[in-house]
Amino acid sequence: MDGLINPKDPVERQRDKLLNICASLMRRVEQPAMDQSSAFAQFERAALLEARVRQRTTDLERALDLLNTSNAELSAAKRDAEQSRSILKEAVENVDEGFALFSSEDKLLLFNSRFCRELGNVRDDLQLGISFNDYVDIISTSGEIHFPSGTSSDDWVVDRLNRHREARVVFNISLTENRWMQVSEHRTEEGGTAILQTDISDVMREQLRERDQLVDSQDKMLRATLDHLAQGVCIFNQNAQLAGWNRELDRMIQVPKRYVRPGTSFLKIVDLMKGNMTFAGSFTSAKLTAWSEQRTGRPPIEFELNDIKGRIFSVFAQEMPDQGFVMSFSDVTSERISANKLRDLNKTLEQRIADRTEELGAALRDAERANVTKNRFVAAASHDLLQPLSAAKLYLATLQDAAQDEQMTEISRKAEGALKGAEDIIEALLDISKLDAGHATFDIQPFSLGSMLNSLSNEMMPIAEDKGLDLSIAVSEATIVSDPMFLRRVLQNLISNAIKYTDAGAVRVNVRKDADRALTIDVLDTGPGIASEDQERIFQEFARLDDSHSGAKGIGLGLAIVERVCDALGHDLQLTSKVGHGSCFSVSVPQHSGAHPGRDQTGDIRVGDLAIVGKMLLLVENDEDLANAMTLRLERSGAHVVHASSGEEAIELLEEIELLPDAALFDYQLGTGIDGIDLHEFMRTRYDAVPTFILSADRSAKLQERCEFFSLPLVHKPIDIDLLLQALDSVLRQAD
Amino acid sequence: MDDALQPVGESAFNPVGGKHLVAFSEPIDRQGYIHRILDRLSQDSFAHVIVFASPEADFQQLIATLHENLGCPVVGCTSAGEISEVGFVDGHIVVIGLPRQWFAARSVLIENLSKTDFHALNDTLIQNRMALTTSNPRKTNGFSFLMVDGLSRCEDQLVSTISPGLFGFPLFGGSAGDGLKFQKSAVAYEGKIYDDAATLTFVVTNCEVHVFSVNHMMPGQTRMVVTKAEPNERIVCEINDEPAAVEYARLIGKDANQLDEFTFAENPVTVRVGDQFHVRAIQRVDEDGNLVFFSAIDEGMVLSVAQAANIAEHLDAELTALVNGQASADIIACDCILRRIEAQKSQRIYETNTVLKKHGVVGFSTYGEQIGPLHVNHTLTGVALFPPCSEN
Repeated sequence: MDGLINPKDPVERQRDKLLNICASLMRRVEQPAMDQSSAFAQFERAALLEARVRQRTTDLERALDLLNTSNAELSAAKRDAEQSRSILKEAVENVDEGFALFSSEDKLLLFNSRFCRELGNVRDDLQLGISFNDYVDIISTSGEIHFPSGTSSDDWVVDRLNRHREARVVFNISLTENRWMQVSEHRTEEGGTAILQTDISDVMREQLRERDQLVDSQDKMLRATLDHLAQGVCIFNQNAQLAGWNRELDRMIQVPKRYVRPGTSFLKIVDLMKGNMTFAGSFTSAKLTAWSEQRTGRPPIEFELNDIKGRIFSVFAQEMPDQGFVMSFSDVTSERISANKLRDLNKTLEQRIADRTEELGAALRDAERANVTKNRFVAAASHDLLQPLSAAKLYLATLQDAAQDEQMTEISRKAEGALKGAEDIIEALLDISKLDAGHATFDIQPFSLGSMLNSLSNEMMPIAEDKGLDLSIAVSEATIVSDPMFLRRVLQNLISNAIKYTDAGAVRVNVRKDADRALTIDVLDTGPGIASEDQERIFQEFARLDDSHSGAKGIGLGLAIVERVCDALGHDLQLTSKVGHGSCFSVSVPQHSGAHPGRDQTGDIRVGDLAIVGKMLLLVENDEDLANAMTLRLERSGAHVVHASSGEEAIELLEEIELLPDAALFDYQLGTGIDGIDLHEFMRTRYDAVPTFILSADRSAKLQERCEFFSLPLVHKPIDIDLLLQALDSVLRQAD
Repeated sequence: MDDALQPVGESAFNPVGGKHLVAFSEPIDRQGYIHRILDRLSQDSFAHVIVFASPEADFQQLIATLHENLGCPVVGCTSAGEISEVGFVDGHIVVIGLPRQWFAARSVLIENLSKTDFHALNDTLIQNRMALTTSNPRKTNGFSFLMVDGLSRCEDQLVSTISPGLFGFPLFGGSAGDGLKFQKSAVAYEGKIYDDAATLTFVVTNCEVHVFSVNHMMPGQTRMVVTKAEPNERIVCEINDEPAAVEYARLIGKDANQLDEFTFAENPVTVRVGDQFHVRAIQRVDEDGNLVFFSAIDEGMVLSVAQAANIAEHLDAELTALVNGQASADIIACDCILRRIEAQKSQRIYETNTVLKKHGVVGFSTYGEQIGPLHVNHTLTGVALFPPCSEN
């Protein structure tokens, strides 16, 4: 707007200008409409009109464009649709099968010229637009469909419509004159139905022909197979009528040929068979007919028949899936005969074995008897011998006292030596007989090997020195597990043997650690050695190698005892020897797992060390053997044991002695009387609490819980006496 | 006017544009140009012939000769410059033949423009139009082509009056010119030339027809009010209550004594009608310091100084959009002389010629253009002819 005013003008001029401009504008604005004939007014009108027309034209053109586009699209779509339809029609016509399409409302939309052509004149009734039901009605009344027997055309229609409800079905329709049609129905995406009809008559006829051929050839094969069998076979149908059989059957059953034909009833055949065959065992014809009349669910049966010719048949009958049944006959005559022969032979053999066993038993009994007699004889003889020996020794002592001169003294001393030798022999014999008879009882326990070797050293050293031999016995700290008395005998025999058979040199006793938990005690000498062929023999009774020693020493029972003892104790005994180089006898003994507290060096209880010493223990145990053994062991530990074999007896005993034991050991199960826990409760309430152990072989949780409830320690049988002693020790220490 | 582009002799006979029009140009500085034109036109059978003649040519002789020797009507007008097959030229005759194969046409002469009651004219126009369409039922597309004396000052009334009767024949046209002399312009009809007259040619054709107008002017911020005018003479005496030339010069930042056609071409003014802007082109400054316009003006009119787009680029974009990828379009254009001046002043004459050549434009430089019911300035207005749909 600034441009309207020339700033160089005076203000008055500017005002005048503006007034004139306004006047011009006003004139123009207020110009009467009628007077607008001026060129510019015309231009203006034309321009406005033109603008409007242009706008309208543009709008119209756009509308036309849209219309044209729509029209073009519409006609393109129409063209496509028509093209699709004609393609579809052509395609449908080109299908080799009959084809029809029903809409989702089940109206017939299109069908080709082959559709329903097999169904006579129905094509005249097929019109586009008819319903699916109409279609089914039309074809069901065409007269061309062969309905299955027992099916009316109405039934067929119902069945056909049911199939139509499925999304996709394929089925065959049987037509008259042995023609077949396969119908497949598919649901289309829009819910319509496409039907395809295929003439499959040729295929079906071919299949039927093949099936007939197959059945025929299967039948022949079955026939041949049956005839091939060594068994007689007959098959009965579900009405128990003969349906099939083989040649072998004819030979087996004695039934007239005219009855062996299809249709003969099973009962008739059984009836005919009864005349010349008998049922073996408890089986009867009644049972058989009852089985056959069961009709269904028959279990397989087996029975035997004997015929008049003496043949035996094993018969097996079994139901078949169609409720008929099959029976097979096997001629088992020869098998039965062989089996009988075998049974007879078996019996003979058994008898012979029994006889022989009897003989052997008698022999064994004789041998045992002889052995017992021997042992008893040896024992008795030894005992009887020891009596007069004792007497002889007494007499000899008297004689020695009365001896006047050197010669007499010498003679009596020699006599005493001879008597001592005899006594040793007899004792050794006694030991051997005990070991052989199994009467020897062992007391296996941990004890100090060192103290035993020490005592042997003391005993043997003078003898060795007498012979001028160098004897050295090892010092050991080990605790071993064995019977101290018998092991001592073993070592004593080995050492004295070594001294005995060694003329010069040395005898050594070494202790070496063997494998796990075992010690080996070696007794070595520099004697003459033992030839390998003699090494077995020396362990036999009365076996001796060097006769030169016999007069002076023993009669060779030592090694026999050694071997028997080691054997009985389970100690391994080894001999290594070479003639001219000396011998080595080795005994392996197990080592004790830990230091043992209550043992002194001789293997006896170290009196005064244990709290148990001098204490009174009440043992209630109804097993006498166990009670005795425990009493023995506990007393050896220094305790006084009072024993009762029942709770009642124990109570009586306590009343009588008017003393309370320092500790009690109660067997849990005490025969018919009160049990150990009850006894403890009784004593506790009646007298006072005494440290009590319950002994039992019962390892049930129930007993465990009961003991825990009464705070009673439970000691399981078999009893580990060491553990029991330790427990007793600690309990008694607390009580002290 | 244009040193860069000289007539090109024989080559001017080569047809330009598409294949439906026969269009060529002939320089007048060579003897016998009229006969050469006649020879060329004799080779074909035309429904109508249109000529645009340089004011230097013997327009009377040309028209009379063609009328006598051709078996078809000839219309034409003088120009302010010609547009040949190579772009802007001077001293040429541009000839456009409408082959009978594609076209049929009827022309009407409108005389005594300054005195005629144009409403009475409509009857004649409608009758001619109906006769043309009736006798050529297969040529379903049509347009009207107006050539009017550019010094008549009657174009506004003429087109606004006749255009309602041109249903189906969209109108375009140009005001005949006289170079830059503004003394004498003429139209030709049936062998004679007329001033204060116009010819209106109805054309029917099988070709697709698109009548168009290109305006590259945008209204600017500087506005002014016409406070005194002589509308019948298209003279603006005062602007903003000051002598028109002085005030216009002040507003465009020029000395009033230096105003010339180049100034006007560079600084056109526009008037707003509805939501459209139309250029009101200034022809010259008269001896009284008034501004003489090429188109209708009035007192109280608000003018704004326009801003011009790049004339060559704008034209190329517009024509490219118009052709829309179709090959072989023929374009007849009436191009305002001020645009040619503007192109020269802004050093874009070469690019503009290239664009015109590229799009096959033939026509002439005008003193004003007609489009529909409007007489406007500073535009390129014309018709584009495309091959018939059936040919595609």
